Amino acid sequence: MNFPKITNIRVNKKELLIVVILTMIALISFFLFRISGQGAMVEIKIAQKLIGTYDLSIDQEVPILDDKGNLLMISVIKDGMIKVVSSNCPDKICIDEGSINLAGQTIVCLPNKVVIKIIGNNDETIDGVLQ
Amino acid sequence: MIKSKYVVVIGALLALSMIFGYIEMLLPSFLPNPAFKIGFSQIPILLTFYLINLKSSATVSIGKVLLMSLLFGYFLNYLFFVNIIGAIFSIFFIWLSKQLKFSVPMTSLMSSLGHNLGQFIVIGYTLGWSIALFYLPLIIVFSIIFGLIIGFISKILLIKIEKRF
Repeated sequence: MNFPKITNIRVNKKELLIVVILTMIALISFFLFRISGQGAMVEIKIAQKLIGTYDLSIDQEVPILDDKGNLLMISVIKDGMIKVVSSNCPDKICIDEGSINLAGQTIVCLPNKVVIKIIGNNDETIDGVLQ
Repeated sequence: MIKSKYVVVIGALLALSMIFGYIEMLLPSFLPNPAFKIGFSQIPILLTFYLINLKSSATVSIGKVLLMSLLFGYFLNYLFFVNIIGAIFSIFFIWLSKQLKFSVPMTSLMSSLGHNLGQFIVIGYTLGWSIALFYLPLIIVFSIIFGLIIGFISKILLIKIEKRF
């Protein structure tokens, strides 16, 4: 038989098993922690300490200060979205992350340990269930 | 190889790893989160592991983090600890795949997974596990995809290099 040597492609079973297990973990965690709907509030934390919560529907400029009062970064809320416009960190990844507006989305600035997280409006979801 | 040749090869690979890391910092990221990188600087680390040994690949991996942090001003900062724990985990996972006799692409996958897992643990510990867990599916999927791509590139390079070494 002149079949090409397709049987020569051997997949190591141990390796395949690890890839499958990893994909399963990824899928499970994706469904557990997925993002949902337009957010209502935004909470800002520095190293797990809550700095403040802000309403996403009000356009405002939010400066983020550390506990000594130094300006770390400036974020802007506009049209229900929040973005970081300036930061003193070296890599500026938080600025590159752009605007976020969905509940569960985050902007993380690792050098400053700042986490900007959008939280959904719980009342709205209850209304949705009742209707 | 004589001892001085080791030193030269390790030094060259370390420099290559740093240059790859720097180029990746300059390029705009096309991934959903700009913090994620393809990890070209992992190629010289894998080459060191296969051409010399695990100990020298640990030297390249940790040396890269040390020198990059000194160059870009985050030495002994939070970012430095995130990176160094990632590098240590990556070396541990390379050791693990050596024990399990994995192929080159799979070793690369494991090393990239270890790197991300180390960073995941540090970020989860300091910034809260809910933040870290939100990024877990992305971490795993990108480790698989880019780990395998980097692994295949390294394998091609190893075949080319071993003919001349």
